[in-house]
Amino acid sequence: MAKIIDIIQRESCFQPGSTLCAGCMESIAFQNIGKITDNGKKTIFGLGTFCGEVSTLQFPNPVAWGRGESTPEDWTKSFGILHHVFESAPTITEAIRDTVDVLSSVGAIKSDIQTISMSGDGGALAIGLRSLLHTINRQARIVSFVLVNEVFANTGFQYSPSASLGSDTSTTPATELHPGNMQPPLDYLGLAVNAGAGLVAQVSPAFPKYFLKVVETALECKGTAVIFIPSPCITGWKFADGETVELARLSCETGFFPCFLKKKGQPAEIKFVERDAAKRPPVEHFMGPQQRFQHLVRKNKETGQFEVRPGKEAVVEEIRTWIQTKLDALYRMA
Amino acid sequence: MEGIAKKFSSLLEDAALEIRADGKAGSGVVLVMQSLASMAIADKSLHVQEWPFFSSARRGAPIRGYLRISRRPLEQSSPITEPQISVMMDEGVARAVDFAVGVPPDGIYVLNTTLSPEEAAKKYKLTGRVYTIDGNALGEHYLKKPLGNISVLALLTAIIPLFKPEEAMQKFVGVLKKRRLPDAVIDANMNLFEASLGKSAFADVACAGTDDHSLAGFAGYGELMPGAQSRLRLSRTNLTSAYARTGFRLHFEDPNNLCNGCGHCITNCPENIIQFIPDPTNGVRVTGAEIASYCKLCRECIEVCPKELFSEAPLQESM
Ligand SMILES: Cc1ncc(C[n+]2csc(CCOP(=O)(O)OP(=O)(O)O)c2C)c(N)n1
Ligand code: SF4
Ligand code: SF4
Ligand code: SF4
Repeated sequence: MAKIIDIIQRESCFQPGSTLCAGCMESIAFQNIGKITDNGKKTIFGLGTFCGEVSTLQFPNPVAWGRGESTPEDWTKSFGILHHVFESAPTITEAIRDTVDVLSSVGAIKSDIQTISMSGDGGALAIGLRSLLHTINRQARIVSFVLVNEVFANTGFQYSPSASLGSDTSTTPATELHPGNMQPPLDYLGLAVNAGAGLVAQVSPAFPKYFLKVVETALECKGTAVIFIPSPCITGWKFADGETVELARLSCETGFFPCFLKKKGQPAEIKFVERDAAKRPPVEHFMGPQQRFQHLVRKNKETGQFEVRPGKEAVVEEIRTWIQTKLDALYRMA
Repeated sequence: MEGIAKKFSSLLEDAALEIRADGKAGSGVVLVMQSLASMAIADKSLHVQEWPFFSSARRGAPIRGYLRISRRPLEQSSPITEPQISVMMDEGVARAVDFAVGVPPDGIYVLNTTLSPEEAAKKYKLTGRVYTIDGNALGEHYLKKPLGNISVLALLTAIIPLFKPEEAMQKFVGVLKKRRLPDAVIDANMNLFEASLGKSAFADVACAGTDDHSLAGFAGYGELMPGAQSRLRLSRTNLTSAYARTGFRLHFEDPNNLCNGCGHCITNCPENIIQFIPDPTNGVRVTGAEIASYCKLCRECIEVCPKELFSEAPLQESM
């Protein structure tokens, strides 16, 4: 296992120049993944359509991909990119894996190649759930990253099946009568585990050491490894500049996105979040800074603390119950 | 004004009045162009084309809006390359794009800036008529936000002889209502619109050299695969520092060698631009960031550094 101090000094294949929003978590995730995967093996990324793809690859310009001053002839020796349709990142990456395996078996490729798929939560959990689950079911040896920002950000912040209870999205707008999204989110961790994934994890780069450990473990995995990365979306969640990492940390500590790691056949590991609600920071700490929850939580002008808006207690209580149920289910796997 | 009115009316009869606006995503370019378009189509004898052009860029990225108005049916559908009016909505965008490119020598510039028309003409090398308005200050006063677009819209309705500012204001209310804004916000916008009329300054200037702002000819696509639309650029050619909040930049200072090598700024910088040197005791020592080219001033490093070595500073531009 590499040391974090060595990893951060590597040259990532994710370079400056992307047109992602300032402070986008997808960007932070990419640059760290680019460093961790630069371990001497070649990596091929299969990308679906999502913010992290359209804003980093503007055909034919790989605006944010490369390695330092090296030319495309050089950097393509260490990594490659295949962009395919919105919903099929895991399956096309599986196809890359199969091709690599065939070429290796006839001796045309000498060293192993890492195959990584990347998609947004819309791409992987809504339209592309089929692709993800079947790839897991076929035990394809790929690492699939899913950047969960709870919305279809690229097309205008529409509801996605991972959207938190009570969140305001452009297709589930919060109104006087309606508290935003009231569809309980899909249990994607449970789905991936039950489909038979070799490794299922949810981890944020806000916990850099743990993130490194999980990604390195996933790269060693013999089956399909699926890593969900909670990705605070500054434009869709509407929070102040500079709070991306802080919110990613809070999203775990308050139970919205618990850090989770489960290898097939082994007990799960749950980190940085308490099972006992009394020991967790209140959900208001995570919801308060985001405008998508402002119909439920407000800042008390006198105390400066976030508090539930009068009349919205029932909705917030429902959110707390949802989080507790989710955590209990994860802890049962531990 | 007389001369302009005459010129515009013959343009409208025989060709088209073309307006181009440059701003940052979020600076209100689209609202201004849509409002002008909706005012123009109310006149049944006018043909109008309006569309914003932006790629997959996000908040803070440069965007461009186009508007064509004519009394003849519009048959073109190409981008506007030689606008009679060029609008610059946000000075930050002038770092990334040339808002004056292709504007004819008798063109009109409408600039949201704190500079006087003469100063702006000198800074940006402009020839033609330059209108300036300090929209950000007006926006700050009426909307509590440094947004200059409403002032620019008011100024445009005063310059373009097709519109009467009072009528324009009523149409603008309609546009805002369609966006379902609360009444208080609409009122504030109206007050701002009214206050902006008469707050502008203009001058006829000639500061452009012969080679300034000329249209680049089409040089072909080079050796490219079929379907490719522009020349293959290597990574790192997209200078994203123009996304930073206008007028500010990141500042790094560590005179007492406080950096402890924790690496938080390095792992959490979305642009991957923190510069460091190896350090025998701490592993790394941070020396700064590639501020001039890529820093979007997202403030993550400012928030995560335990030693508070990063801060935001005013951007000093060389005039
Ligand atoms: C088959 C298909 N349907 C719709 C689209 C349009 N589309 C492109 S990206 C996108 C949303 C992506 O959302 P998500 O996967 O959550 O990623 P995010 O942008 O949030 O990072 C949509 C709907 C498409 N490209 N292909
Ligand atoms: S919209 Fe959200 S996910 Fe997309 S680039 Fe912006 S912050 Fe990132
Ligand atoms: S503000 Fe800091 S973290 Fe953000 S892009 Fe600039 S250097 Fe990177
Ligand atoms: S966060 Fe601050 S102390 Fe830590 S490495 Fe960066 S500059 Fe140094």
